[in-house]
Amino acid sequence: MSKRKMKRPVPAKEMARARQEQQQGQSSNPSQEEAQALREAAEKCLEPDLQANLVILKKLLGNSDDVVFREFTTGTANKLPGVLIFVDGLVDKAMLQRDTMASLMLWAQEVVAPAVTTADGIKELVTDQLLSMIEVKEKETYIELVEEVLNGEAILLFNGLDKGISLGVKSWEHRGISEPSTETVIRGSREGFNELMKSSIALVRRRIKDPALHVKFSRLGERSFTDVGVLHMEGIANPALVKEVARRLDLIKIDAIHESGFIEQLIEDNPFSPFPQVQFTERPDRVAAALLEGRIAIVADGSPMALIVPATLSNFLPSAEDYYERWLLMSAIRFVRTISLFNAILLPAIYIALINFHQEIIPASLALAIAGSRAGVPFPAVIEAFIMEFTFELLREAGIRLPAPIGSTIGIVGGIIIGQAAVSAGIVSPVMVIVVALTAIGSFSIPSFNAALSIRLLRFPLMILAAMFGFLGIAAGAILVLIHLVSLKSFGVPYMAPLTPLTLNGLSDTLVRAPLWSHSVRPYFLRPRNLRRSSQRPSYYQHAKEMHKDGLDFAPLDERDIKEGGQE
Amino acid sequence: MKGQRISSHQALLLIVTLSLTLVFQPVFRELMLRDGNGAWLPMTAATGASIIALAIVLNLAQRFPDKSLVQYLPKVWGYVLGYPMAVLFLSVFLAKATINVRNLADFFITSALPETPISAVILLILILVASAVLAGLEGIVRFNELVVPAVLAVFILVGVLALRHANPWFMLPLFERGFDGMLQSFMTSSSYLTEAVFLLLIFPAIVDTKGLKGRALGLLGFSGFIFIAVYVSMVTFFGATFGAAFTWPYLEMTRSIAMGVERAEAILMVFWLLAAYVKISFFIYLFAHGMSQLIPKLPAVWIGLGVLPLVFYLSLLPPNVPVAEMTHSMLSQGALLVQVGIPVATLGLVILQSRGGKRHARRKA
Repeated sequence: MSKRKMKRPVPAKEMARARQEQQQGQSSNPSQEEAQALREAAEKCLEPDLQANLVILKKLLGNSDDVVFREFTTGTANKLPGVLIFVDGLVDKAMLQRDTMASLMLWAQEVVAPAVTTADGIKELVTDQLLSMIEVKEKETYIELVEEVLNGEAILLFNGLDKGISLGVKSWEHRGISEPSTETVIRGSREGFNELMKSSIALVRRRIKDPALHVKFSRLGERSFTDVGVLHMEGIANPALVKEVARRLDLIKIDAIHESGFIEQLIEDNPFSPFPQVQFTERPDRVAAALLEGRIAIVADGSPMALIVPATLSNFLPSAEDYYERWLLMSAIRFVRTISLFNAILLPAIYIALINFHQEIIPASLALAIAGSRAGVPFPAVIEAFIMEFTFELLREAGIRLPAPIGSTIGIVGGIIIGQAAVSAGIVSPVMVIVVALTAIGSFSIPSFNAALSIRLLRFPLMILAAMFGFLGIAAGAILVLIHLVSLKSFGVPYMAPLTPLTLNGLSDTLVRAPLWSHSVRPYFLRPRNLRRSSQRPSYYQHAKEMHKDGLDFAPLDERDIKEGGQE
Repeated sequence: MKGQRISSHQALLLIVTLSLTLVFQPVFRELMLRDGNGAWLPMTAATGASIIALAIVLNLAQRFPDKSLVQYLPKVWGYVLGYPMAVLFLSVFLAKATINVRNLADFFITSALPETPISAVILLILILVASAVLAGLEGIVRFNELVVPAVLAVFILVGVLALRHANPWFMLPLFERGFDGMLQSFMTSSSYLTEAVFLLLIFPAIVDTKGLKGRALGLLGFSGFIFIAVYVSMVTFFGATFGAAFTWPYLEMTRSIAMGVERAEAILMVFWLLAAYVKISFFIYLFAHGMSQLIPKLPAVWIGLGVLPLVFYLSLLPPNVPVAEMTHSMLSQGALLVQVGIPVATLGLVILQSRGGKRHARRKA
């Protein structure tokens, strides 16, 4: 029996898609060709014919309403036609009016300008005699002109001149310098970066008045053309590191950089790690300190956060204030912070391990109290912990997203009312509320937001391991975290440096903050070109000797001295 | 060792870690059963002999600074003999890692997790080992560098607290069990201490080898001291006869010491686990890396991860703790011959070859 050949019907979806593709193909081919031709034209140099240049530039700039093409003639001799191009809102119009248009149209009529026809003659007349701008650059290709216009510069074109003149008139509305909101300090500068890259760089330069501070500008984002500045100290930062940062920035292929976080994610060593490998800060003093250590800063336009690379774990724990107060006190506070770090990671897991596996470790009276408080709770300790931790994360997230006055209300409602209600309802035990509260306080004490975030996430797997294996599980989790940390690198620098690989001079700024005179050497693990921070090597003895040598020392006063002093 | 660079300081700290892992191995019970309170003598002799052995075999590493032992074994002995010798040498580390996995699992189940299936504990240990294999040599040595001070501090703490309960009279009468079992005890002790020959396998990865030999021998002496000190502290704490009744006398000693918290040994076990983890992971890494040098197209990570199911299976083979103990004892004595014998014989042959070569050259001239 021969098989009947079935004619399979073409599904409607496939037919529709094919038709759509056909239509698109017919309509898009000419436009694609046109776009290709435009792209090719953009790379070419300008022509002497002004009208021809204008046609191409109008096409490239997309006929947007905010792009202004102001045509004019200048000079009395040959009425040279020209055009000024800029984006409304990105330039300082008053400056353009005063230093460009007035010069070209009014002043040029008052002087007897010679009739210039050659390109060099026009250029010389305009840039050397007429324009009174400070920042004037020449651009040769259409794409360069487009980039300048979109970056807030104004462009001047003249008939007969095969170059465009870029005028530095960039000016737009921006936020003023305000106190950093994520890194508040009691003692220290109140200045924070804003969204303007050049303003942020100026804040750093104000702190390091050294010609060795080098800034390299580049533009990232194929459509956003975001200005990015890379700062380093020449002669201190390792050249290989500077080169590596530049290389990684060059590798970025993305349409837009909306925030420096985009750059961070695209240049970090291990994107799958929960730990941050790039430090961010909105404090210029922190950036200045990092640069003087031999690290490199990246500032992006539109972001108030500067990035600092390389970053090791020890960079995320100190606060800027640690260096501004006396070392002994700040070392003690750092110690407290380290304990709270362990609190934030391990406390819920330890509680679960104690309740489930190692009850005998708890002193008998406390064990009885805990057992009494958990008597009515229907869930095992791990579920109880998860409920409370999840609720707390929820409250925290809600508190951040809401406006500040309501955010604090949420904290009170969540923390006190819901916590109390949950205990009264017998859903959780009071001890668990204490544990979660201590954990939360511990995580708040970590100065770096992104490090605190990693730590918050890590405690959940540790809680699961503790519920399965007790202390062995916690140890296993800690081992997994540690082995990950020790194998992590940030721009070639081991993440756990200076603890491992052990660098003794780096230890003066890890768990303790040694006195400032002992920070005479830059951290070895950054491989700085110049190890010494200052020309002389200060030591405590030298410091003390110089401080007290022929120093002011009042002798004990007697009554006569006081009278004489008073008379004088 | 491609791309993996470590400092001599990091490499040598591994020698200390190996001595700190003896806590969870049934070695002290074995020594107490065999020699009573007199095992300190073979242990001291073993320390001296191990230092001499390491001094000899490090000459071999200095002759081939850019190659590991498994790379030059086939060249020295020829492919027919060299390859099997290299595989045998590496297998010792794999076998030791396997029995250590079992010892560690028994240790945890007996002391803290009586209701947990042994397979679950072994699986957990092997997951941790897998992470170390992925981290590579740099990761393992950095981890070790981080944990050694903490583990050492715990040992010192226990040692100091044990002093309060120590009874020196337990060391008398001297050599109460005579000298019959001392050769075996010497071999057992030497087997642990000569594990330091791992340096022959990682020598090319060490950046600064200047002065390495002296420091390695010093640290091996320090490890021997820890080994003997732990043994003596247990004998003076329990007495040799009573101490031998426990599978893990060090654990029992820690339990018996008042530390302000009941069952504090559960916390200290976390630190012992760190040291044990380093040892097991490092030995499996050594095997994997050595095999990848013998089979160049096979990456060390794949070998390391691939061998873990075998380790899991083999570590579950002993049906109970006594059988595991016996296996451990037999393996440690047998391993001594391989881990010292192969490098020493190779060095001898290398010296002979070089002399023969010189004479041949002279004759030709």
